[in-house]
Amino acid sequence: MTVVLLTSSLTMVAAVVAAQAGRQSASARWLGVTILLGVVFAALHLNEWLRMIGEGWRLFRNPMGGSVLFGATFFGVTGLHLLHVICGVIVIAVIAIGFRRGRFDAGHVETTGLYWHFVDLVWMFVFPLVYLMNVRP
Amino acid sequence: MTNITPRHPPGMRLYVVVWIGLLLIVGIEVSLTYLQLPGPRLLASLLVLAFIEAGIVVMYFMHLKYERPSLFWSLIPTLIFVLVLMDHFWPDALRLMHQRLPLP
Repeated sequence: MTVVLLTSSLTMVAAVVAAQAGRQSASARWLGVTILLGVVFAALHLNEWLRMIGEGWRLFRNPMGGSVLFGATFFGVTGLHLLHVICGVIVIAVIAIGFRRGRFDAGHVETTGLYWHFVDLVWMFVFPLVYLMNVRP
Repeated sequence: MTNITPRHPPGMRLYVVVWIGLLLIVGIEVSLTYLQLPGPRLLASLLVLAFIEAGIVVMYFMHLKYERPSLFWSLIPTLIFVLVLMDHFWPDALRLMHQRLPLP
């Protein structure tokens, strides 16, 4: 999931670079790849959620016997992040279509890129603090 | 729309190098997790690496490195303000630690 999101940041940068160089179709293609990676991230995330719910995890239930607050923290933090990813995917799709039709310019693509990188940046803290800190080797 | 194109946009090669660097940092984070470090030390290490990652993303992917210096320096008071705000929440976080429900 982390690799997918980091890669989507790189494809977003490629879209911005192409847009600034006036290569409209290349920029739209890179935006398409970014959308695809965003969808893959969301699908992996939802799959993880469904598996955890299947194992008995709930907002206030911890099947492993630890703190019951873990479920609320995990679903709350990762859910808010996932919501931002889904919103980002929708916005990138709108910008990609508008940019292809000439309704938006390179500035719009870059501003959308800043949002997407911020979503990636937040994950850089969610991943170690929520996932890695709870690994039991 | 305001033009926010960086003054000296770098090429894709640099971005790919940055991306590989970020993947390496993620790899180090995962490796650290399996070293069985004490909790506070692991937390500190992961936070330092996360801040380095965030800094790289802000400087390169978000182009802060190529913006006017005044924009960079204007972020410092904002960062201090956020840290001061967070400092007000630590006592509450510590209070919550003592309010954990007993294990079943």
